[in-house]
Amino acid sequence: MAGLTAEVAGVAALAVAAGETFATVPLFLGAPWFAGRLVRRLREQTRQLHDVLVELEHERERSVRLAGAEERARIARDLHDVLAHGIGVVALQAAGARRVLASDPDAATEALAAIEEAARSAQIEVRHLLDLLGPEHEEHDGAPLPRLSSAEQLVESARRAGLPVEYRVDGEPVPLPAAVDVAAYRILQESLTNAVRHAPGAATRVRVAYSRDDVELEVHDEGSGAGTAATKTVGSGRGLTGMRARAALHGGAVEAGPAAPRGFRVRARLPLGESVA
Amino acid sequence: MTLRLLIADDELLIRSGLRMVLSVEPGIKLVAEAADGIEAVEVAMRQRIDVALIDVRMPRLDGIRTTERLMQLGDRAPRVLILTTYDLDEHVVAALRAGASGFLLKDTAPERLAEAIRVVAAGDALLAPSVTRRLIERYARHGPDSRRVTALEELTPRERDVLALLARGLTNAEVADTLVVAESTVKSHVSAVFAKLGVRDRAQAVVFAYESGLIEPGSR
Repeated sequence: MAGLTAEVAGVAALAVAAGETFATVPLFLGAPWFAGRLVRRLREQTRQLHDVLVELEHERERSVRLAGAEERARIARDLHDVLAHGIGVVALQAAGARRVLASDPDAATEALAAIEEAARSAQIEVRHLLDLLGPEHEEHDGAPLPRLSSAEQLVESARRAGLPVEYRVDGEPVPLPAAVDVAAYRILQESLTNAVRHAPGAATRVRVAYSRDDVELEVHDEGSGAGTAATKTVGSGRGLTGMRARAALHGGAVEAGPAAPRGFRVRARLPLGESVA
Repeated sequence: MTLRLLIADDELLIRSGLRMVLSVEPGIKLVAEAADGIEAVEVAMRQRIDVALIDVRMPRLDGIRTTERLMQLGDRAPRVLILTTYDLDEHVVAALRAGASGFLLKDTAPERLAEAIRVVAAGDALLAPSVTRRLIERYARHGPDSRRVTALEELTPRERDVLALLARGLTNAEVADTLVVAESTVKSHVSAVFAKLGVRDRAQAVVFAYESGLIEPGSR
């Protein structure tokens, strides 16, 4: 806008200057000429603004699309920070509220309000961050909750994919800590996907064993053909790094490799009970 | 004797949470709160504070510099416990080097909170010895520092032994057992060591031990 004002002032100054020499001519010619320039200037600026807006929109789309590994890592870190902080506040306020519930109910009530707010805003922030990750995270739609209790469904879909699976559960199934549950599910999912991919049609044994201290998963496929190439570079293309990382996070371990009499076996153990970092 | 406590953290919810949790602890009285380091130092100058919980990150004056200023109060300086979110944080080591007695994770179980405060107030044991040593080992400045080496030479052989054991996280009682002497003897050695080295606190002594080369990282 400043530019336009200067333009106007400039044009007006010119008109005045011209007026000193030819009194009547600028007054007669200046007005419509001046107005035309103004209109052209406004149109030009509107067009420029529009271009800028379109460019900004493209930039936004581009940056969301180009959320490559680095960007996702950054978002993941932000997610962690938001969650860790929100949960930390909730835990501390809850601990406080419980202790002063009888002696200072007003303080306890304030604490509960703070918990409500902290939990809610963490949820919202997490959702915003997930939105940034784009549509790929929506793969959860329709899929079962990633809990080990959904293991049966994983086995079923492997069977539908042509893998003959023998499935066995040992021990008394117990509810698992949420994060361990997800990790166990993902490890099972990855192992079965591998079996389907690398040992199509091969007899496969899946075993989930619950004990007091841990949960064990075993996926042993008796594939031979596709297995040969893969065993030369153990772990390549089988997502084992991811599985090991998940297990390690919970103080557990993953063993994977060729197994007797033939084929490939993945065995994972995840301890139950509080993991002390 | 009731321990007079100060909490310094820029987050209201952290302060109020800690306030509620500690309110049920016998022998600990929260006498003041501060929202940043400047306020914390002002409070400590005006009244007797036995233990100060100081957040490592605060506006205006951070945890490290707050610790430095508090140490300038000399005998009146409170024991400082650094509050942090991460257990491997070089800023925490800097605070220990400056005179803090130990650190606490913000997700510490409330039961441990009061215990930690009492441990540092008493001063004859390192708080959370294995994690503290692991932290110090990781971030201790490598290569013996000549100034510290010189200070080390001021110690008698016995005092060096005591320092070495102390740096491994032993309590005074444990040092006494190891050297087969009375605990009171150990206490006087420890005081002498602190005075000669110009350290305030066991944690500072541990940092010193690593940075003077007396203890090698990785030694048990």
